[in-house]
Amino acid sequence: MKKKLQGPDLISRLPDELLGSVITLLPTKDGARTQILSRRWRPLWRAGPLNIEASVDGFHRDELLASVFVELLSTHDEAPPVRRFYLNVNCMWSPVPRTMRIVDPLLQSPGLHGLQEFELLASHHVPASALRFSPALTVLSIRSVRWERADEVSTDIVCMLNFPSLKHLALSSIFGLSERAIHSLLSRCPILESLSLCENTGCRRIQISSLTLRSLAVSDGDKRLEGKLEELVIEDAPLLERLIPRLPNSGLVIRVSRAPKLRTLGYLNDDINTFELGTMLFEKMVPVGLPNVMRSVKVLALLTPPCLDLVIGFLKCFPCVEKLYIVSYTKMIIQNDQGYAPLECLDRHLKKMQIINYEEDKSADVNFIKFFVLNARVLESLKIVVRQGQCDAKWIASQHKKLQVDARASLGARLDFEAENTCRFPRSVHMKHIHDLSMDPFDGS
Amino acid sequence: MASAGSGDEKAAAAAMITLISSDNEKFEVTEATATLSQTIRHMIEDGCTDGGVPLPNVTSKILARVIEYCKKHATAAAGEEGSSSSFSDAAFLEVDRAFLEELEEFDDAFLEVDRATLFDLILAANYLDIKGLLNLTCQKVADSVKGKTPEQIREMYNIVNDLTPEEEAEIRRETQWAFE
Repeated sequence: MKKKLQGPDLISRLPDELLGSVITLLPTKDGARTQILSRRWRPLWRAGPLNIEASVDGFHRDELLASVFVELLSTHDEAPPVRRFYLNVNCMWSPVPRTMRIVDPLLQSPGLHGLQEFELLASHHVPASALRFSPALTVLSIRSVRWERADEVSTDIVCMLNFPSLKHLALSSIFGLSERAIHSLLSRCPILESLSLCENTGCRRIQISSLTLRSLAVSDGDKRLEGKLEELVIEDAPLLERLIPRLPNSGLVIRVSRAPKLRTLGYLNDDINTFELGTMLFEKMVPVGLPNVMRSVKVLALLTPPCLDLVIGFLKCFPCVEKLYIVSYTKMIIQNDQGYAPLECLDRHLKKMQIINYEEDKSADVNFIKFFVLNARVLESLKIVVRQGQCDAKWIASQHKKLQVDARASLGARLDFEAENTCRFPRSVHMKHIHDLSMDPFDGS
Repeated sequence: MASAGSGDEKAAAAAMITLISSDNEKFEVTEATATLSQTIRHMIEDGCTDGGVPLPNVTSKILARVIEYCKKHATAAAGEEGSSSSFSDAAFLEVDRAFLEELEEFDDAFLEVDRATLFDLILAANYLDIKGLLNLTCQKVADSVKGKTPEQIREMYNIVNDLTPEEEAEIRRETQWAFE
């Protein structure tokens, strides 16, 4: 027990309130363990604001843990405030009523009144009581993992809620979320900055006009999904910076009338039937007519075969792209001849490029990358993620030769090869990256 | 044109604030930098900043660091609040990503300090009510504690365990799930 201590106990100079601010940033278990540090620390965790992560799957263990939280949050006189509450309700292995007997009291706890961040992951049943917090919420994320028809979310309940402080809203895989419910919900979030609507059903068309929205992610879902989203219309979004169509998509139509600040776009893919952006129109990734250009877009991500015609078509529409992310897949025989007129994007803007799923034995892939090596004049970095094998020095040297790296247009460009054995698709644009506006959502995803 | 220019200069000069540390050192900062501190913002609004703002709880060493932080973050904050007129065209959305990345790098480098300084910064951020700096520094402490055993944490921060074995056993019993 006796340890020789060196130096003074600095952390204890902080007042309780600040120690509480540190504790609330810790995961639940780490937070609770601080009680045992010393007599001074003992009451702090319980005083909150708490950061609670609970999983309930109907097993005995979880029941015990949940009852601990219920007890903690239900001390009527002095329930500690909860800052963040993450709840994973899994009814897969036990009857729904049994699980709900544990979850409902948790959600009713008085301590949750001032909740700021609420994340709910629910297998097949979103408890209605989950929607009761609202005045102080800044983050609300509800994701359902649905395997069978589940209860529908009551439109009437949703239409009664107000979210005056909500900045981040994410709703995924929710069954029966009607058009009226979504629109009513959005109209009650006056300062919403980021919105993610993925794989919900019950609403065919969403129409958005928002003076505050800066990030929007959307996916209609697998084609077997019934009653899925068919059309997203963004009428006016003066601050919208990023539009992220997530996978899976199956025939979604996206129409953007006005988003003058749009900076980050992708992954665009040919599962999006129609993509309209101002006067631009793409049908299954193919531009229709002679569109105007959009100079605000700086980060572009495409899920596409390594087809120069197609990608250069995009760079003509978005001439100021600085970062280009491509996840490539092989679909057809492409020649990729190298004859193109000079492009503003390649001459002046493109600084960073990444291509995932490069196959060195396919001439289309080689020619595709070679074109950028030979023509991107201000390129700073080119990262190539190889589908198989290892990138040893000898192999890299052979690739440099194939791609004519010695003759590259930008002498300062750095080439990096990375081996990855799994075929990577951009479904993995992480929620965190969508909501965190200071991050490039495609970098490292 | 010339007169408009001198007008701007005048406005800028008027917007300078003097901060005085506990060891009586004076720091001249722009109002935009100073008002990242809600405490100082309120003093400015109340019109009691003439002759400088004494900050008896903050040493010159820490105040210099705090000002460094505020200067760097002032541009971004001005954009976020939209209407802060002193940064007319630095609308947040136009600020290049590169700037935000730079800001992140700055924050990381800023936190490379010894523990004593880190806790001084927390106290100063709290006293001056600078939300961003408080979050940043508290997160740094939380990260250092995350995943550690109580014994490791005590050792790291020289926390004297004054709990009796009985009290310890009681806490373990009450919060058994946290110690599994």
